[in-house]
Amino acid sequence: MVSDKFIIRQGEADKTLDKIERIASCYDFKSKEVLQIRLLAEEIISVISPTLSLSPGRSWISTDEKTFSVTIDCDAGVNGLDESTKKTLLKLSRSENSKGIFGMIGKVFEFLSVPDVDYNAVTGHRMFYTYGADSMVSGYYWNPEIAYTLPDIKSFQKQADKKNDDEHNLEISIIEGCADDIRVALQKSKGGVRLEITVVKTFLTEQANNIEFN
Amino acid sequence: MEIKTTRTGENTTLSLSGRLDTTTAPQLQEALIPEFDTAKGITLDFAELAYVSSAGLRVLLMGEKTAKAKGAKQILINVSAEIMEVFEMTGFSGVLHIE
Repeated sequence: MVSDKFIIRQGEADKTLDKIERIASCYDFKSKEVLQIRLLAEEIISVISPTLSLSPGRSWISTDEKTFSVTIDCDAGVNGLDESTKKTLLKLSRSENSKGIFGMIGKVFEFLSVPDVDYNAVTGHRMFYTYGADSMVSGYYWNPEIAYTLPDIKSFQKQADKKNDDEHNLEISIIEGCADDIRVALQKSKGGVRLEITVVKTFLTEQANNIEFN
Repeated sequence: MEIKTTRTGENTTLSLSGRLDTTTAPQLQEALIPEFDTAKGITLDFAELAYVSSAGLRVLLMGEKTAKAKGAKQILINVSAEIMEVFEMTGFSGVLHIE
């Protein structure tokens, strides 16, 4: 089942969070898990807060017999996402919890570079890649004049991650700690870029899935 | 969120009830940080606190850093298992003084 979409405006996230918590409490979750669902939604909103200053976001809940998902999306506008948000999304997409990411990798690459140096969300390598007129993306290791070994590249990545230690790392830790699955998707849209993040909680017991959303 | 402040000599206790989230974190910051101008020991009582988000964690970290800078101490007491779990997810259990 899928709920109506709730509008999220900057500074008014509480209204949406209250709705999400109220819906979650109708399901077979312990009170701790209901609060975790609210916490997940709050942390995602915190991650996308720079884009909410430009235009409202949307949130909805979808359920099946086994899972309860909260999705939040927003339009980043013609200027796209700021660097901090991009880096956060890439970290989230590399999360061990992120089982559904592989279908979204192409969309992430499509947006991120033309050309640019950035992270390969699959292997964790720094990649330099171009976006061709035929929509093909080609990539190769950063600074092709020097042949870095795979362990070197992963070490560079770790150093780069440490430098960005303050950027949304708290939100990422909480999302990774509370969610059973994380999905991140970016798409080009008429207005610029559309971003969608979904976090999933698994029910302890299968649900009848016949609860009406308010 | 409600904050009850009790001062005894150089020690101050802030008792929090409700939720420490994006909306209420500024309230805690306003109540907590100025206390370090006079107090040498700040105790944050979490007995009635149900929820902490990243916004709240940042204020707690700010308090911890301010305490160190002023030669004071910030201690958290009566932390629930659920909030302790958030501290552990984020590594804060090793950064904050929790009793």
